[in-house]
Amino acid sequence: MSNKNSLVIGNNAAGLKQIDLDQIWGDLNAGIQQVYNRETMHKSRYIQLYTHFINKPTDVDHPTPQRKVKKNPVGGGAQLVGLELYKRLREFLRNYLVSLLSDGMHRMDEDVLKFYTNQWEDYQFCSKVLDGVCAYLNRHWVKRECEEGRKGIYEIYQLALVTWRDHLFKQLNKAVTNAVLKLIEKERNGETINTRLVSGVINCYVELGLNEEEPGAKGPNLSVYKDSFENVFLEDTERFYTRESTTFLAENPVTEYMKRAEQRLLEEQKRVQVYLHETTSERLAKTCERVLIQKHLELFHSEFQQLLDADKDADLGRMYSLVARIPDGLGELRTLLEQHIASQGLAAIEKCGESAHNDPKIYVNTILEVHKKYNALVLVAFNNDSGFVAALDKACGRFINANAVTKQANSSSKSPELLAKYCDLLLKKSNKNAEEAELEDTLNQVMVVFKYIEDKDVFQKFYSKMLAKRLVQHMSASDDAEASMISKLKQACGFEYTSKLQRMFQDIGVSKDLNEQFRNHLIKSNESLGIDFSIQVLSSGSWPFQQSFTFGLPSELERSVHRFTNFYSGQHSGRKLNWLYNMSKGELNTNCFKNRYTLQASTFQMAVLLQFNVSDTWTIAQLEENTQIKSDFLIQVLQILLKAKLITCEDDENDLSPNSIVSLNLGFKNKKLRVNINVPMKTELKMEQETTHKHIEEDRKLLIQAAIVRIMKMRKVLKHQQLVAEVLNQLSSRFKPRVHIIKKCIDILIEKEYLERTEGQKDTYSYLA
Amino acid sequence: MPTLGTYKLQVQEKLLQVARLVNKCFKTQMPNIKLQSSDGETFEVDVEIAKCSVTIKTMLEDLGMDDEEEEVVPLPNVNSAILRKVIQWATYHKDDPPPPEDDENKEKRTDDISSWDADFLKVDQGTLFELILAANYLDIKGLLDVTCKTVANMIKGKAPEEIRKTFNIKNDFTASEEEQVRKENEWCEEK
Amino acid sequence: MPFISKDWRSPGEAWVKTQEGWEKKKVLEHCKALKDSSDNLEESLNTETAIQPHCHITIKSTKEIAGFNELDEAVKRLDFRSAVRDVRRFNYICALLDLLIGQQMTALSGCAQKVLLAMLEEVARHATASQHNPRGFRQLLNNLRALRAAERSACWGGPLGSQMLWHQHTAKIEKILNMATQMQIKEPHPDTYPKLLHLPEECIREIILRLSDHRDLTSSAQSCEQMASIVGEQRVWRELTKFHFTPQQIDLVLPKDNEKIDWKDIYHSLKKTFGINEDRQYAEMLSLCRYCRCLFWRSLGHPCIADQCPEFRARLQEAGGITPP
Repeated sequence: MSNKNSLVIGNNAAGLKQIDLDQIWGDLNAGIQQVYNRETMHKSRYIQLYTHFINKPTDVDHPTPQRKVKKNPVGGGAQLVGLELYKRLREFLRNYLVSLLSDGMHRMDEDVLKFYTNQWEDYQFCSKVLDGVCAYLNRHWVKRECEEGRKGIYEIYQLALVTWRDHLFKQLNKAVTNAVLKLIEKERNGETINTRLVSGVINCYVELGLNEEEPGAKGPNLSVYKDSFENVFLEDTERFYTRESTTFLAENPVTEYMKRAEQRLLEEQKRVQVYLHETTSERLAKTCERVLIQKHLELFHSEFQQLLDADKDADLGRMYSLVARIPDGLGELRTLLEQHIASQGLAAIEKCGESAHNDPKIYVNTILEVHKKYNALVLVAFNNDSGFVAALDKACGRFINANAVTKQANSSSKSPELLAKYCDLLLKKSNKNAEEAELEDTLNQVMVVFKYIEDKDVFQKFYSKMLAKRLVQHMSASDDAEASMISKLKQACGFEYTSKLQRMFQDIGVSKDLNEQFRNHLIKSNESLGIDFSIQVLSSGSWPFQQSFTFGLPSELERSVHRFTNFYSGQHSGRKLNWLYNMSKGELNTNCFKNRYTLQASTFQMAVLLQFNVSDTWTIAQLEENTQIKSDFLIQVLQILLKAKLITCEDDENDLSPNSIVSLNLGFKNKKLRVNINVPMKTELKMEQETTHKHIEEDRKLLIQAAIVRIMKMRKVLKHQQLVAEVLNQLSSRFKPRVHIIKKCIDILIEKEYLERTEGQKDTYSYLA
Repeated sequence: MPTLGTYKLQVQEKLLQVARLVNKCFKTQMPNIKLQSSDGETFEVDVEIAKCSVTIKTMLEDLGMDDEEEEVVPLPNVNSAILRKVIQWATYHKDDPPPPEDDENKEKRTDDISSWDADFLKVDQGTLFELILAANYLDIKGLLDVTCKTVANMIKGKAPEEIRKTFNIKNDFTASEEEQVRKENEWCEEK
Repeated sequence: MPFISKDWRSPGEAWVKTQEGWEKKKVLEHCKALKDSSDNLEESLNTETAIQPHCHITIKSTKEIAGFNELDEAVKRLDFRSAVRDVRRFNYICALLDLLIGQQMTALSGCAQKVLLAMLEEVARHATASQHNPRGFRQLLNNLRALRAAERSACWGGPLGSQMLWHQHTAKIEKILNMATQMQIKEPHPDTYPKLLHLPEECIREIILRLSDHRDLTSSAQSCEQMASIVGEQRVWRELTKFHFTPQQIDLVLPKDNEKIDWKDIYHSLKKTFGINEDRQYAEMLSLCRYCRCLFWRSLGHPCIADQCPEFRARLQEAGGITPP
């Protein structure tokens, strides 16, 4: 064993004498004293101290070189020396700190801070050096102790921290923390402070959080920082801002308060960056938000309405950014905004009064103005927050589909009707047609409103009707604009929605070619019709026209119609042509009047007028006989002719009977040489509107039935409630079906044996393949 | 009027100054450190190489590097022959990536020794153990690792008696103790 | 065409007579190149063109290439003989030989058998000289003896195959066994200083911590008291366990309640459950390149088709960004 002891210094000139522990400690103690006195240390001295830990004796008093090892495998001689050195180091640190403490006691405020931070910085530095000197002890003895599960043994630097914590921190931390809080409060009150004092303390607290449970885990665990500083600090913060916000609000308006709160939040964030630990950031922000915003949320809500009324966008934006910090804080604001927009929209339409009902342009523009204003508000002040966008949409949907105008019409379909009419105004040839680019812009605006329309099918019906008229009567202002509008609708509602509209477009193109071919055909076969004759062939499914009744076509036209029918069936065998006389028109040249007038007339008017080539006077019964026009309809035609003063009658025009005699007014006079007498008939107009609405109802039923069948085919068996929900969902892009109609449709389908009620189960249907 | 002789001297002095300056520049670029072995021999080593030793590295960090004062660092536990070998090893390995922090999963493949290291460690047992002592003293992880592996390799696959022979170990067990240890291990094996 | 060959499309091999018998010419050339490069090791390490020992193999065996994948060829091409002398590869080669001799040797071609025995001789020479891993070596010898005994009466009371070849084999086996019996552990000079036990405990611990085989730990413990006390430490066994087993495996065995953990017990029960993964014990192993089907030493690398041909490399990257080792 003595052999073993000598080996550590065996190579040294120092000799083979056993160095005893006290001797080593004596020198070490002096060296460490040197370190903590912050005397300059030479490298040789440093190495000398370091070497002591290796060239330590392996035995403390080691009287019996017996089999100690085996009996007590944990505590070899080297281990005991290690423990002894460790104990003495601990004792040294303790003494150092105890004497330091006596100096630090009874200091207050900045004084204690200065003392604490200065001492801490020195101590931390010195302890790092000490740790380096004791590296060998750390590496082997301390590690082994920890490995073997001994508690309360630390690496030397950690030991230094623990000792500081136990002997200085525990005594002083209350005073120190208080002083720090006082400093921070001073800063909050606008004074400049020495932030280094604060950050010094914070650094110390962070460093003191040791992972005693897991010595392996790296880095401090912040427990000391949190317990001794953060919690108190947050309480303090809460108290400070509760007081401040209450007094401030008592003396200032909410708008000023919001500015103050914004600034305070920013300050606190900066405070963390400058001298607190980064992990505090979140909790501090939460605390401030709770005190500064959440507590006054009700006040904010009531202020919000006033700000909306006053259009104070900047303040609204500020309020938004403040309230957005509170989880779920924005809900109330959204509801308020929605209500506000809806009521603004309703008020705007109401203000327009009667004109909105009749003038689609005023109606649509009023809607657009409201939308534009609040869209901008949402975009700028509310950061385009999805919740607020939804509120805007909901509000728009509300006031567009139900307002003064629809109430007057007693139908929510008034909105789509007016919108379709507005489109017609825009797209119809007139002297007010806008520039191409401007038109495109306006159409985009139309689409904004369209998005909110619930009954999109109504819009479709009216739009297609008016488009049909524009096309047939060649009244379209621009083909490009028409096409662009159709593509917009297609984008919004899908292919199906516009397929008929597109077909109509195609038909017009095809008809142009057809007329050309027909003309060539006539020239080739050397036959002349004697009149200008052109036709449009429209596929029956796509156009919203109803076939009219037949009548005795005037012989003047008969040949042309006949020739074309032959020509067409020669080109397309098997296709049937139905003539829409009510849509047809022609021009008549007069030879009987003083001037040679050209009359633009409908086919029926032509039929009647042509009769006067035979005789100047007819009874109505005779006319009915000759033209085969139904009497009530004939009377309407005659009324128009009477109004135009082309014919005269002795009876009152509202009191015509089959025996009334009408005669040609030979003294007819007009300023213009081209006279348009083709004005729509009253019944025609009225009928058209009615049929349109009736058609919509019919179509809706069909759509609902189709949807039900589609769903049931997929699901086979479904509860009533679920079925209704799915139908509503499927059709929502078109219109909002009413539940009682859905029920009716289900009944129809049961009758048609598409569905049956499932036996034994209430409210359940099953699909019959 | 200076004579030709004094002029020559002046020139020489100037030249010397320039030389010193150049020397100094060179030194600040590649600072050296002087290490002194236990038997008094001084080695001048590039600081970066010396920092292979965590002990020296920590010391330099703790005390700071003041290059004005060219202080010799005494290493009382290492003799010149071993220090020379250590420096040789450190120089060769100066560009190695730093060893992983986590020493829990220590590399245990005793034969994982690079061929350079294997050649480097073809030395007698005494030197090998002294290298271990030096590596431990100076805290050079790589060197400690490779030397310990070499020794572990010498243990690998040997019976107790062979181990004793290899390292000249005296059997300090009594016969009964030896039996007891053997049994204990057999029991473990079987369990 | 008058080819008298198993397959006339075969490129044909030129055979050259050497001291050790007939040898394929291309293999010989390859080995010569290897030898040249290993002669001036310093230079070859620095030059890019140095040929690393490697061996292309063909995985799918067809008629044309049957007989290309010969073990003896692989052994030569991979430079096994000098590998024996490499610390990093010695243990691996012992294990490999153990496998080959123990199970398959008699099924191999005579040529391959010869090569294996030559290698074994090399191992014996090295093992006795360096005294490394006598346990592994002894294991080999046991196999060898068993082989000799079994083969002696394999076929009608005599070995199967060429009598002459077997004669040579027995002579070689005899020689190897002889070498083994003469193996003696060399003791250091008693005056050598310091000795193992002169090291401070912490240094001895560092050494013990690097043993990867529990049998070595046990043997060390049995050698003397001081070693026994260190081997008895929990840390030694814990690190051993963590080296051999994954955290998931360890979790299975770890006692759930906070009772005292004995890592030695844990190690042994884990060893029972999962066995020891041999892969982790060898510093150097043979690897197969999945691009060019090439056997090579992992640390030395090989001339890979993926390195030489940029197009191939680009294709590989396209195929999924795998870059060859």
